[in-house]
Amino acid sequence: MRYENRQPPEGINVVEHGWVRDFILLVIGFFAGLALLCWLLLQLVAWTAKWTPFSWEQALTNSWALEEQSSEQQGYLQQLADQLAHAGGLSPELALQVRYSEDDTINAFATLGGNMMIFEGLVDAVDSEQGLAFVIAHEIAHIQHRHPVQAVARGLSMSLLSAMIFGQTDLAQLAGVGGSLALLNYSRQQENEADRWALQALHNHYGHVAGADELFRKLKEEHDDLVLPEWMSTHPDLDARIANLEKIARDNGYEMDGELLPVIRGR
Amino acid sequence: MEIFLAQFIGPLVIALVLLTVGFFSGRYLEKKHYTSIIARETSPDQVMVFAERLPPPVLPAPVTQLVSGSVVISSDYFKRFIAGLRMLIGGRLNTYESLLDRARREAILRMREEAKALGATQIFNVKLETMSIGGRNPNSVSCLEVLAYGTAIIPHS
Repeated sequence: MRYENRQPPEGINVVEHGWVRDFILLVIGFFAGLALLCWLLLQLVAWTAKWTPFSWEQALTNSWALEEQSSEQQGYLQQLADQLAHAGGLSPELALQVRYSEDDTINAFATLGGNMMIFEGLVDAVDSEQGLAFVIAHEIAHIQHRHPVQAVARGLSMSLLSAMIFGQTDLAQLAGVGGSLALLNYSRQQENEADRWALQALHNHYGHVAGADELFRKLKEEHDDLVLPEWMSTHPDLDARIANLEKIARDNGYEMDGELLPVIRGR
Repeated sequence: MEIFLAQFIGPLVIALVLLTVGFFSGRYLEKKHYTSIIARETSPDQVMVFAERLPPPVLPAPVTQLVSGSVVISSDYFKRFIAGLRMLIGGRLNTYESLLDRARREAILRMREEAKALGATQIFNVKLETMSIGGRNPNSVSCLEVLAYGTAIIPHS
């Protein structure tokens, strides 16, 4: 018997360049399909979230056991918010709870259960009551449109989708980035929606909309070197927002000049 | 803004860099490895390998000795990325096939080298074992060991 080893031909166990087709088809096809799926899911979830009873939100936030606040500053802000809510026509089943924080961040945000957080930095940053009122009315608009619960529902459904499809692979991270960018788009749409509502509330309350864009102008002066493009940001960029406010005011015939009231700062 | 950058852009950039590095280094190393494997496999003075359990009996009986060759080989980010996508729809994992093929052939070549150093002319009863070193933890480094072993036949000089 003669023994020999022959060299087997290549290309049986391994297909040379077999990954090329995989890469192109899978990456393009898969991400396109995923984007479509996410879009459908987000639409559905946001639409459904609107019908979540407000009392559920309140029950959830009550369990956070936030301390009751009763400072002079909080009282003023709460009063202003209530007036604006009335002027803007906040739905009767929704309730507002303003919370004040002595933090120098120039920000305010609305969250679940009609809770609104206003930072001292914001109150200090504006000179007129209208400037502050616009930001408060903007946050009320988020509550009116049920944006916080929609955002939570969207975020949760995206996480769930990502966990179901990818589990704990590296792809989950990439998908997370795509998902976040998609969520940001919704976020920007909501900001525009809220700006529109806030401007109307201001018009109803003061009879004019002067000073509404005060904060944006201030921020623009400070952050001239803003580098992030709009699509990567939660809010539309400042120039676009100021222009948008002017457009809304013009279209609805709001009075753009009027008396500005000073902000009351309790120490 | 800084938080935003850290949260979203950071991982994206890291993933793209890893993907690019994995792609180029993986391609380069694989090509080089295959060239070397084929050159060694086709060299004329290689020890012959067989899956048969025993050679035909001869007198005097040859010396037999256990020989083994082992390879630990790591996947790269690009291979994992492609495999991750493939796992969603099923099918051939092309990128892992080439990785395992290289490991298998390299292990056999190392075993043959060991046998040759012992003065053997043939290896019988060749077997292969594969094991993943990372285990089942999804975050561990994905690398694997391929072990080839067999009985080297060393003729009487």
